[in-house]
Amino acid sequence: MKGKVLIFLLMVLWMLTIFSLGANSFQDQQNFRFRIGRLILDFADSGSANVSIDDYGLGYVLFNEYSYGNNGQISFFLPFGQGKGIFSIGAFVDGWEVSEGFASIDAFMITTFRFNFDVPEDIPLEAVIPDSIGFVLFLEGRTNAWAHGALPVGYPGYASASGSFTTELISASAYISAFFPNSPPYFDVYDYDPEQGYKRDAVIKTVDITSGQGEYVVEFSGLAATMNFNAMSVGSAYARTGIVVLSGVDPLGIPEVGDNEFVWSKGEPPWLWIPALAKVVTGFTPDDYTMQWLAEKIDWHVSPSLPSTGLYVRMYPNGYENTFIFPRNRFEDANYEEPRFRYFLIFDMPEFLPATIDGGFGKRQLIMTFNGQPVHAANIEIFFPATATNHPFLFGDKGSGNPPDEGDYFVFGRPLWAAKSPNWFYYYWMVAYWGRTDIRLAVNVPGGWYEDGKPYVYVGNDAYLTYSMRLFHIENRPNALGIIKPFITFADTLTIKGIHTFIYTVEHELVHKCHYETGIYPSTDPLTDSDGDRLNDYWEEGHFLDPNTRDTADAYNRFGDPTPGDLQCIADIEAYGKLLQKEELWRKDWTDTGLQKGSPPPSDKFPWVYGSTNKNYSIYKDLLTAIP
Amino acid sequence: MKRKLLWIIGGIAVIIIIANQLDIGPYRPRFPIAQRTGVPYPYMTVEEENLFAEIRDIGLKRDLSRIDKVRHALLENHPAILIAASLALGRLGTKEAIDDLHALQARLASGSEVQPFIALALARIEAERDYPNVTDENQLQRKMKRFLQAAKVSVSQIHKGALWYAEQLKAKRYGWAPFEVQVLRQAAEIAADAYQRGVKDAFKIVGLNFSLDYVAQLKVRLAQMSKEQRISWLVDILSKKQVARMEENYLMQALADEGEGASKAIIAKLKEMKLDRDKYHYVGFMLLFRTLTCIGDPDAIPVIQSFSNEPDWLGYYAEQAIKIMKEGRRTVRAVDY
Repeated sequence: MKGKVLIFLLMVLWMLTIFSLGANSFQDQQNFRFRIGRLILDFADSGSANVSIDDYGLGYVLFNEYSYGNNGQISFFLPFGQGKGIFSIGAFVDGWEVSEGFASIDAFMITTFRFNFDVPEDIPLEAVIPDSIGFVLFLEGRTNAWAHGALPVGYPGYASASGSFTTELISASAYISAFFPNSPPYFDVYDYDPEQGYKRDAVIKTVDITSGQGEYVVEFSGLAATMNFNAMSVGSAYARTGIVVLSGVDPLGIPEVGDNEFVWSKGEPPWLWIPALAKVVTGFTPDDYTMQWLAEKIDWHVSPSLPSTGLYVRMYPNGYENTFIFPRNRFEDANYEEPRFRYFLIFDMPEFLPATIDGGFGKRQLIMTFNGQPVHAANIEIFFPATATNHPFLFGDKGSGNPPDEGDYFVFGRPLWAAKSPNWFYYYWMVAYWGRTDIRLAVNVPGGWYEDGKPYVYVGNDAYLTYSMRLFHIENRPNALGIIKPFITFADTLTIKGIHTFIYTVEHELVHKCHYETGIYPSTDPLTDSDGDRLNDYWEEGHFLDPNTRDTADAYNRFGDPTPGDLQCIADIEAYGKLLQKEELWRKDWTDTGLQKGSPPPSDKFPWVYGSTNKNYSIYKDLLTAIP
Repeated sequence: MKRKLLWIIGGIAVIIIIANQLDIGPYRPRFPIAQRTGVPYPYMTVEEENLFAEIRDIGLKRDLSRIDKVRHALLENHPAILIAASLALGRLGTKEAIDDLHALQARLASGSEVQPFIALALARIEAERDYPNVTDENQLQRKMKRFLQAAKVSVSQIHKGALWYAEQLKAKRYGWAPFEVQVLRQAAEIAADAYQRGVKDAFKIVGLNFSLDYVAQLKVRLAQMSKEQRISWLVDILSKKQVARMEENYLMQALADEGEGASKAIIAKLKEMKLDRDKYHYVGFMLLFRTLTCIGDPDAIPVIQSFSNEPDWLGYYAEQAIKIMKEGRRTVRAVDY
C-alpha cells in the first residue's frame, strides 16, 4: 500500500510539473517594463475561462498559476508592467478509489504589447520622426493528454483527456482515450503535441506609433478537459509569446536631436563600431533552443552601405568582450539572465577614412532583418572626428602643403614645412570650396589672414569653433545741411560654428584679397588716408564710412584687434553675404564637433543665432550683404 | 673637399653664434610677428567685455584680493581676454600664477598671438617677485636687469624691435607690437612706478630708449605728471583731435585708467565743448565719448545723450556710445597699454 501511495504522489508531482511549464520565471521577474532609448515597452494579460467540474470527481483546473475547484466563470487581469504573455490551462481528475470524475476548462486570453514612443519636446523641422516600430513576434506552445490506470487493484478503469490551444501563428492539440481492464499492471497513456519541446513560429509585425503609442494584441484560446473512472488523467495546454526588438541603437532614435550618433575612430586605419543588438522581450526566461532558433534568423545591415574592407561582427557573450573578431556571420548569445543577442558591426578601412562626405558619413539606417526580411530600421548618423588627421590624400601630393590634404606649419611667422590637415579642414574644403587651391591651412596658428599681394589666403586651426561675427546696416541721419545721409552702423551679431565658421573665415579673407587686388586698399598716401586705416578718404565717404576714424562702427578695435576696424567692417559685410548663400551647407557638416552632432539647440536657434533676438532671425531686415 | 666644406659650414655657424651674442645683425624677433589682415576677434558678450575691463583694472590697481578672478579668466577662449589676464598677472607679480600661465602656454597653439604676452607676464612676475617695491636706483637697476633677463631680450634687440615696429606703422602694416616693444612698454611702466616712489632718474636706467615707441613714451610722459595734470592734459589733447588713428586708442585708455576723476573732467569738458561747438572737430567729441564707455560712469549717459540729435557724425557717435553704455558694457581701448 505504501508503494502505491508513493507512486501516486510522484505522479501528482509530475503532473503539476507539466501544468506549470515555465511558470517558475514569474517569481524572477516582477515588473516587465523595458526602456530601449525612446521606446518604452510593457505588456498586459487578461483572460477568462469557463470551468466545469462534476460533483463525483475530485477534479480541479488550473488557469495560469491559479487553481480552481468550482464551477463557473473565472477571469484574471495582469496590468501593464506585469503581463507575462503565458497562457496555461489544465484539467485534472483523480478517480482514486473507484470514483468517477469530470473536469474541463474553456479559456481565452489576450496579451497586449504596448509600445510607447518617448517623443522629445523640441524637434527640428526636418527631423525624421519614426512612425512605426517593427518587431518579431514569436509564439511557442505545447499540449498534453495523459492518463494512468487502473486504480486501485482489482477494478477496471477508463479515462479520456484532451488539451488544445489556438493562436494566430500556431495551434496544437493532444487527445487520449483509454480503457484499463485491470491492475496491476498499471500503465500510462499519453499524447503530446509536439512530442518534445515546443511548437513555435515567428512573424514580423509593425505597429503604428504616430500618436505616440501603439499596441499589438496576441490572442490565445484553448480547451483542456478530462474524465475518468478509477484512473487519473490530465489534459493541458501551454503557450507563450514574446517579441524581439532592435535594441543596440535606439530603435526610435531621432539622430537630429542627438540620438544614435556614431563617430569613426581617430586612428589609421580607422574603424567604426555600430552596436547591433536585439532584445528578446518576454515575461519568462526563454530557453536555449528558442534563443538559438531566433538568433539564426536575425541579421543586420546598414543602408546606404558603408565602405569597408570587410564587415566584421564582434560578439559579446554574457557581457564580456570576446577576444575574437569573426568575419560577418551569425552568432547568437543565449544569455539567460538578460536575453538578447549582442553584436557589433565593425566597418574598417584599409588606411584612411572615406574620401568624400557622402561616401562614409551622414544619415544611414541600421536595419534588423528576420529570415531576410526587414523588421525595423533605426535612423543613425555617422560622423568623422574633427581634429584627427585620418582622411585620405586626395591629390596624393604628400609634403606639398596643398589643400585639402595638408597645411603649412609656421615657425617664426613663416611656413616651414607641410603637415597633414585635420579632418574638418579636409571635408569642409571638399564640401564648400572644391578645387580652390588659394585657400590654405595654417596648421598651428589660429584665426585666418591674408597677406598683401599673396595669391592665397590662410585659414587658421580654429576655424571650425564657435565664433561671433558682426553685422551692419545703414542708418540715415541728417547732415549739417539737413540732408539725409546714410551711415554704416554696427547692428547685430551672428554666432556661428562648424562649417559656417569655416565659410565665414574663408570668405572674410577672400574679400580682403579681392579688395587688395581691386585696389580698394591699401591707400598708402597719408594725404588721402587721414585715419590710417588703409582706405582712401574719398572711398570711405562714398561708402558711408568715416574717413577720420579707423573704426567707424566701433565694433573691432575695442576688442584688441589691431587691424583697422573699417577694413574689417567691409570684409565682414561681404562675408556675411557669401555666408548666407552657403547657409544650407550645414547639412554636409558631419564633424563630431559640428552643426549636426549632439543635441542641437531648439529649432528657432538653429543653425545660427542672431544677437538681437537670440534666435535664428534678426530684428534687422536690412543687414548689409554687400558694400553699399 | 669634404673637409673644406665642413670648415666653411662650421665657420659660418661660429660667426652666427658670435653675432648673436654681440647683438650684431638685423632685428630677430623672439616671437613670430603677424603682419597681415586677419579675421577679427569674436565679438564679446556683455559679460566677456566687462570681464575684459575688470581684469585689466585688477592688474593696474595691483588688487591681489581679486587675483582668483584673473586666474580664472585664463580659462576663457577669447584671445583679448587671455592677453588682458596675462598682463594683469604680470602686474600682480605673484608666483602662484606661474603654473596657470604655463598651463595656458601649453593649451594654446604655438603660433597664437597670446604666447608673447604669456612670456611677458612670466618675466614681469619674476621681476616683481624679486623686487616688489623699488625705492632707489640700485634696486631699479637690478629689477630691470632681472626683467630683461627673464624676458630673454637685450636692450639692443628691444631698440631694433621698436625701430622696426615704427617702420611697420609708418607703412600701415598693422599688427600686435612685437614682443620686444611690449617689453619696452612694461619696462616703462616699471620705471614709472619707481619714479612715483621717488627714483628721479628712473627713466635713464638700463639705457632703454623709451622714445622709440609711442606707447612707452606716453607712459613715461604721464608718469611725470600728477593725476590732475594727466587728466587735464589727456582731456585737452583728445578734445582737440581731428582724426582717430591707432595712437588715439592709447590716449583714450590712459585717460580711462584715471577712473572717476577722468569721467568728471570729460563730462565738464563736453559741456564746455557743447557751448563752443564750432571750435571742436566731431572726432574730439567721439574720442571723449569712447573714453567714457571705457570708464562706464552712468552719470555720463545724459551728457552724451544731449548730443544724439546733433547732425552728421557727432550725433552718430553719441548714439553709438549710448548704445554701448546702455547695454551695461565697459570697453577697453588698448589692451596692451
